[in-house]
Amino acid sequence: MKRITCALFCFFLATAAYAETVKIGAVQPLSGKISVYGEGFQRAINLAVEEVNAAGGIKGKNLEVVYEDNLSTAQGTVSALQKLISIEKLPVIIGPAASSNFLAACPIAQREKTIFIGSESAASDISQCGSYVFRVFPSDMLQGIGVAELAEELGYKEVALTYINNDWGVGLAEVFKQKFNGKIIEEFAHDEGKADYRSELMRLKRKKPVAVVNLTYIKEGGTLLKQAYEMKFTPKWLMGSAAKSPKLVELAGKTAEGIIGTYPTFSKEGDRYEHYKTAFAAKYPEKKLPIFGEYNYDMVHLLAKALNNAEAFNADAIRAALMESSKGFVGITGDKTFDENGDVGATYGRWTVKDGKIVEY
Amino acid sequence: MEYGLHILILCLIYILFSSSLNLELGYAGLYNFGHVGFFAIGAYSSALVTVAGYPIWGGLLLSMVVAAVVGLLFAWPVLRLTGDYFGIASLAFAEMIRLLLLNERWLTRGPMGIPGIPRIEILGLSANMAALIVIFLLTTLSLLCFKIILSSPFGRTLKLIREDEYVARAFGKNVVSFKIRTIAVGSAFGGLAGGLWAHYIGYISPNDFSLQLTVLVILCVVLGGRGTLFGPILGSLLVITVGEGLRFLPLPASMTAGVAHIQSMLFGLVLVLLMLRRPQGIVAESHLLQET
Repeated sequence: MKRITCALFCFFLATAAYAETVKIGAVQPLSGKISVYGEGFQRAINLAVEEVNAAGGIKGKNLEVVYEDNLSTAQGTVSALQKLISIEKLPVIIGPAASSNFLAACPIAQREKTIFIGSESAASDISQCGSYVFRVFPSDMLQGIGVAELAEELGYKEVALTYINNDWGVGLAEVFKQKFNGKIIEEFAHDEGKADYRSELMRLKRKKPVAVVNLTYIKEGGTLLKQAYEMKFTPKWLMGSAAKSPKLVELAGKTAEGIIGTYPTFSKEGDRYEHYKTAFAAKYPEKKLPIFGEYNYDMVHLLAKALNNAEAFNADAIRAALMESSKGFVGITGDKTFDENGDVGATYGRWTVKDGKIVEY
Repeated sequence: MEYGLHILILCLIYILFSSSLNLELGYAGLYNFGHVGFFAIGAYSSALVTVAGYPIWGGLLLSMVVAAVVGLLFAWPVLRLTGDYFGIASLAFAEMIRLLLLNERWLTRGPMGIPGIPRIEILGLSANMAALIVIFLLTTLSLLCFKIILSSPFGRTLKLIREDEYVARAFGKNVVSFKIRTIAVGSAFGGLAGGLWAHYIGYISPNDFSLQLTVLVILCVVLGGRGTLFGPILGSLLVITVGEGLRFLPLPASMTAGVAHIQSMLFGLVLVLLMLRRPQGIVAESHLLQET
């Protein structure tokens, strides 16, 4: 009998504790092709949640994130989202990395009147998702314009354009083509993850471009630069944000010298960034800072602010509070004021490689 | 509620998809590893025309026609190959389709995928309920078609071809013609499943149609029992509900990342055990030729 009472007591304690939390959902790729993003995002989110709770939580209750895996697929995203909306009945859900999965889910969130907020999805199509969809990451649109401006400022009238054949590369290239006031003498997509890009480079080399806009990833970028150098093809390389990594320099060696790229920038100096870095290192001593982790960190803090300001815990009240709370909210990744599409602005910085180091251009 | 409907809808789409594969794999003995290619063709056909403003029923009809025609074109040369070679060719075919969808950007938007595919709407019902009713009706209708086809002389000839092509030829049956027709029919219904999937999910991109989907659908057929009408139904129900059911395991948040790996391992283990212990699947085919 004693044991039963004890168990019952524990149960009530547990449910009491359960009732004291404010839950939001998160759909992330925790397994599958891009799980490396999802796992990093999860860490950054958990770190921010811990800070929010330490600072008093949401109106005195603890914030809790319910994660669902989307297996890095569109169907998995829809499944995970449907579960969070209809079983868990959560009014706020954090959307997955990768624009393609985000796009599969956003019409459902809009239809079910659930706040859906992304931290990495860059595709420009997302702006049209609807009034319940937000993102704290700048749209591709802005970076495409940034690369076009870079090419123009450097005085190039003619460039060749090549880009990685995925949603990021193609999306960016489309914007670049629209915005660049000059001639594009050659243009094609290159496939992801190849070990040999010599035939692509031959095609570029034949046109003898002075500058090549190469919107690609780290591994592909390294291979391309190295093989171009071996072929004695040395134009000025202009690149995007996805290739900005010491790994690129490591792969390409001295051939990476002098490339110029753009990236959505935020100051990696100052107390707040330093605080994020040390807090992350303290919580996950063995893990590196995840890519785009800062955006997730900011997103949770912004959400917490909105939840604290919201008049009620339902999507419409939170939506209004989110719009209001974002005004002038400056996180470590900059100003997060939402426009009418739920998008944020960004400042684009420029990077270059000098003496084997990535530095500001 | 909506989540329950979602699972049911997925089950129905996979039932249709795996049953269409069963026609080829279970009845005609054609190991088509490229069936996902026809699913993709169906999805894109219907998505493209409906996004352009045509009605959904037209899109679904088109997805069947396009998949059937491509099936014919594929089967014509490839069926001169037999056994393993057919399997390899079909695998290559699915990859070709995926690359085509990825690179023909003027038509398919390439890796950007097609967002905003119209959803099935009838009688002002909630989105999932409307989709469920339409998909249920179409799947049932398709299963009826399979039943009629398979209990006809055509179906019996297919089984004969599977068991012994030489005997079939001795009976004066044109084996290649039978196989080509089977692939055309199987592809048409595979295409329909793809079309329904596209209208349900609402966004498609070439990455959705990977080898993984092929493996999953073959598992549905083999687990349930190939060569039977109910096998793929049971197989699909099991595969989808077990896959989604793993979401409800009471695991701590840090462990959720492991669930998908458990799922893949579980499916792999099931497949291996089936092959070893019960190659005929859960529902065994009746009237199997007795081996002596």
